Amino acid sequence: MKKRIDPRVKLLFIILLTTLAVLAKDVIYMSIILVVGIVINLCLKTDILYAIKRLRHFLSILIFIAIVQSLSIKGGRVLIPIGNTALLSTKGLQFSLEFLLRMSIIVVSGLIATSTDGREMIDGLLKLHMPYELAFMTSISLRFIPVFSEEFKTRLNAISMRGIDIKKLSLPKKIRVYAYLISPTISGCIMRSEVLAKSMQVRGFRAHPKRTMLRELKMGILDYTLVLISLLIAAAFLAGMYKHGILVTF
Amino acid sequence: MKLKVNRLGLKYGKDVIFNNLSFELNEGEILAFKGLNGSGKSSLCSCLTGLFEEDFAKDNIRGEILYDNINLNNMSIAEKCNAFGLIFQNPDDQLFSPLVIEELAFAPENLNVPREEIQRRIDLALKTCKIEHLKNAKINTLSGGEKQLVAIASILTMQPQILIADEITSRIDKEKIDDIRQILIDFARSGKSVIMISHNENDLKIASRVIVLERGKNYAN
Repeated sequence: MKKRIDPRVKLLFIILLTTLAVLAKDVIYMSIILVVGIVINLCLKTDILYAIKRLRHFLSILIFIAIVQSLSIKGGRVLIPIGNTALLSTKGLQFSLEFLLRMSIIVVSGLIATSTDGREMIDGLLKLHMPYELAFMTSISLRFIPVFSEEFKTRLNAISMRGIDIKKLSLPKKIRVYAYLISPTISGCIMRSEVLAKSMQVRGFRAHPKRTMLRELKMGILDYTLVLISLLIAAAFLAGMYKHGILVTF
Repeated sequence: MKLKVNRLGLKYGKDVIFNNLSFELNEGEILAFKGLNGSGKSSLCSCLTGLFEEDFAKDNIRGEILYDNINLNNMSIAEKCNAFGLIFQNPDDQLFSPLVIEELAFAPENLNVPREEIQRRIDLALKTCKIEHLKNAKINTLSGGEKQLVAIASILTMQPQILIADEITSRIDKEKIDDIRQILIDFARSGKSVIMISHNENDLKIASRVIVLERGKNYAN
C-alpha cells in the first residue's frame, strides 16, 4: 500500500488531519482524529515507534507545556485543591489534553509525509501546480535536517576526542558547549549548501522554464476512492463538531 | 578547436591565484592540470563552468574563455551544460537525491530532455560506468567508490562535450580508479574532451598534455 498511494492523496490526508486538529475543541473528537491518523500511518507502514523515539525530546517538551497549562488554567470543578486554591481544575485538564492531542495529531500527520520519498513528494507538489523551485526547496530543506545533525555530531565528537566527556558535564556547562558548537555547525551547513547549489547549477537547474519529469504521477482508482472517502469523513467530522458546538471559531 | 582560454586571471581580493593563463583544448584530447594545494585547480574548474557569481567574476576574473568561439559569458545555462560537465572531488557534495536513478535523471530533466531519451541516457551512463546493478539503489547505502561512479554517471547523462574531472580519483581504491581512468579515456576517444585535475602521477599518464599550476604565477612570463 505504501508505494501505491499517490503523494497528492497523502498531502490531502495531512491537510485534512491538521485542519481538523486545529478546528476541533473536544477531547473525544480529537482522540478519534488521532486514532484515524495513527491508522493511516499503520496502513502506510510508517515506523511510528522509531519516529516517537527520535522525537522523544520534543514530545517531553510538549508534555511539560501541557502540565504547566493544566496547572495555570483555572475554571470548572476543582480536582486537586491545595488549601483554598485549586492546583488542578477540570478546565485546566481539558485545555492541556486538547493541546497534547492537537500537537500529537500534527506530529502523526507529519509522519504520513515520511512514507513518501522526497522526490515523489516534489512530483506530487508539481502536479498540484506548485512552482518547481519551491517544491525542490521544500524537499532539499528536509535533506538538510540530517546534514545539520551530522555536522553537529562531528563537532561533538571532535570535542569528545579532546578529552571532554559531554555526558558528565553539568547542565550550564553543557549549554555552553552546545552554544559554542552552534556557530561552526551553521557555517558548515551553509558551506555545504553552497557546494550543493553549485552541483545543481552545473546540472542545469532552472536552465529551462519547462522541465521534464522522468516519472509521471497518475492517480489510480484507489487514489480517487481514498480522496472521496477522506473528504466525506472530514465533512462528517466538521458537521458533527458544528452540531455539537465544539468547532473553534475565529 | 573546442575550447580556447585566453590570458585567464583569477584573484581573491589582492591574492592572485593565477594570471594570464592560456591554453587550448581539442576534440579527443585529455588535458591535465596539476599543482599544489591552493594553486587554483578547483578555482579553474569553477571559472570554466561559470560557477562564480557575476559580481565576483566582474572584479576578480580577467581574460576570456571561448567555447566553439562563443564567449562563456554569453552562453545560457543550458548551453554551458551542453558544453561542460563538472565532476566534483567529493561525490557527497555533488549527490543529493535519495536514489541513483533520480540523481542521474536530474540534469536531463532540467535540460528538458524528452522522457524516453532520459531513460536511454541513464541506461547508457550506467553501462559506461559499469553500475547497472545500482540503478534503483539508495545513494546513502553506496561505498565511496560507487558514489564517485554515480557522480560521473550523473554528469554523463548531460552528454557534455567537455568533461571536467576535479581530482575524482583522490578518495577511492585502486580497482575503481582504473575503471574511472578508462571512462575518461573512452570519453575522449568518442571525440569529446577531458580536463583532468589530479595529483596522481598515474592519472596524468592518460593525459595528452599536463599543465602545472602555481599559486600567483603570471603565465605571460
